[in-house]
Amino acid sequence: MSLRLLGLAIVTIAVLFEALGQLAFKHGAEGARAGGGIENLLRRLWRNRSVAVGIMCFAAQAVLWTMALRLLDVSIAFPASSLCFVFVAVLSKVWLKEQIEFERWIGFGLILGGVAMIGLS
Amino acid sequence: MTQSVLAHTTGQQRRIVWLGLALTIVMDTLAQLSWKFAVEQVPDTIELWQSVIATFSEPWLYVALLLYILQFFNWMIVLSHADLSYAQPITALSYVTVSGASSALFHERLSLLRVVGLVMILLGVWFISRTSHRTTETLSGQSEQPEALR
Repeated sequence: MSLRLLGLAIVTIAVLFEALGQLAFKHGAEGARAGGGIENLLRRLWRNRSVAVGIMCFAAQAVLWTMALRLLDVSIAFPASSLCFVFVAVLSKVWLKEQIEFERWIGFGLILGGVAMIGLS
Repeated sequence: MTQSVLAHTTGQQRRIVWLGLALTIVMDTLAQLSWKFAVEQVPDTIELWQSVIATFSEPWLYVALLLYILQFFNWMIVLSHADLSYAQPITALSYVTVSGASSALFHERLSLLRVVGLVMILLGVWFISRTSHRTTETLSGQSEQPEALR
């Protein structure tokens, strides 16, 4: 496997971790939500396991991203990071059962294309 | 009566989500710029690992870290009220604000392709902001779908 392919594989895994981290944060935020004001929310977040998992996902993502940048140019790695929007859209629909209506899909598509273009510029 | 109470709550939820998303963009942008300021203070003549250590003695880096911690709590509040597939793509707006600010502050060039990309992000965010911010049931079982089906 060439170094470039290895780099792209690592970027993909890094981005997947980022999306999973967001999913864990969302799960934690929902769990910490029921009742109480902001102080209660903060206290519950502190003890929440999903939030801890989310933070670990972000740490893993940072390490993987740093590794990938040693193998790839930013001009390749950055557009690949727009994959995060794809993962978030699919995981939100499949796991969180969010309804992604037509307009929201269009929005995702435009943002994905826009980020990829910035990377190529 | 129940309905008016619900409508009030829904409007309030929406305001919280929008305020939280606005704060997200502002804090993300300021954090990115502070980080860049911190790195700029370090001369690029030294070794990479030395430059990392030198960056840690720059106050701007701590401004960035503080902003990220505040942003974490703000983000949790946003996510407790809004869909992930609504809130997360909207944060792409910070690509636009960071690009705008860095071309103004650091005189970084904006190529045509970049401007097209930024406009596409703006359009995408506009499309997403037209959808309802929450499509799942809350834990208490009340639907928060706002202003019913637009």
